[in-house]
Amino acid sequence: MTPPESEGAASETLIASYLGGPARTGSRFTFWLGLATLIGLAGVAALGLLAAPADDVQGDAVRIIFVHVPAALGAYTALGVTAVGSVMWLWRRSVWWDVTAHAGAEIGVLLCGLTLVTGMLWGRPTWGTYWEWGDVRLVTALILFLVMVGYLSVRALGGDADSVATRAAVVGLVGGINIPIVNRSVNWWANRTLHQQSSLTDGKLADLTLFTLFLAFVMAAMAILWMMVHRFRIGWLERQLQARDLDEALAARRAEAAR
Amino acid sequence: MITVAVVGGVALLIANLLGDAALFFYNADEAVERRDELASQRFRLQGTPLSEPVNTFFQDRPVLAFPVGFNEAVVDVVHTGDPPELFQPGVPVVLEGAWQQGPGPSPVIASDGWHFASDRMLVKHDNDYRNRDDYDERITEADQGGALP
Repeated sequence: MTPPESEGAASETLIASYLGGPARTGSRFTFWLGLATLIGLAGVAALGLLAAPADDVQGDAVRIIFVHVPAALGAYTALGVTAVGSVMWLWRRSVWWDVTAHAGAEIGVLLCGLTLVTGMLWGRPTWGTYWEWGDVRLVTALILFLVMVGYLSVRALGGDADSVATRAAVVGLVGGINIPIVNRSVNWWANRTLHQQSSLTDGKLADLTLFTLFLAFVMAAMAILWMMVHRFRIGWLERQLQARDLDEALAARRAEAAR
Repeated sequence: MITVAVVGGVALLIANLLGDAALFFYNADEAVERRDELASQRFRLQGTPLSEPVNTFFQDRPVLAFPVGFNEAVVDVVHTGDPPELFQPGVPVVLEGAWQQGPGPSPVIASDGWHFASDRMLVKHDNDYRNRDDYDERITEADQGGALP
């Protein structure tokens, strides 16, 4: 019987021999990237919670900006990658881009959800409400989240990999169109939304708040890159396994037919 | 071809929906301008509270009375219910209610024979963050007769 600690290694060797290539999703690069991200995020937490000043009106609620804004920009980026990947799949039938699009969607949905939740947690003490259905920024962000959950659902429906990729790519494009609408809504409907306009480009933030926010952006970018690389490699291995299974099934049928 | 049709259709649908949803509130000046048109209809009004609210009674109800302003228009507000925690002069609010003829309780600032009767209030925090340390510093400086411009 295999001892538990070597189970992972054993299955890794099994997959590796099956696929004829490395079955790991980590590398020396992702190890150091992950470590640097963890240390950086601890730095953001320390600066954001202890060093950055409280707001005169909002008090400590202002600190949610260090999660909310980087999560929102991260969601735009990851879902933007999905939109680009969707175009590349439809245009060039590039499997690499299809797997990238899928990875972007999973990470983007996570970050978009985080943006919505942190926004609501800030809205209750600040606005006096968790949610306003009439607000364009809030509603477009929710639509983006739901469309991309739809993207993941379409991918989970099953079928042959190419049809799944095509169906998902159409949904990915719809989500992509929504990204600039969500981002620009507070400017297009200036003085019409409960949500404030960009704190970064038009707002007034204390120096240390701004520095912490920029550090949070860099750390969010590194975290997204780390997750993208791992999720991409999982997707790529899945595709190879599927292709391998299909080849074997075809070979088996042919062998039966030849008998 | 189908892809283009689906994407185009959804984009059109979203644009349409947003066009309708875009009017979340009237700013105080627009609300004054459209008073006849709005009549007794419920709508949302945005403005900045100009002074400390006064706790008083109006038509046998406990209310908060305060003026809000936007773009040089002033509206006297008579609010029923608890305001959000951050409600204070200088921080914009979105109020839900309707125009009512007749002056509200004192303070009457607009004195145009109307007041806005609201029963729901949201604080509309803008992107002008104020640093608490700087604020304390300014107060200390002011107390010491310090170097304020």
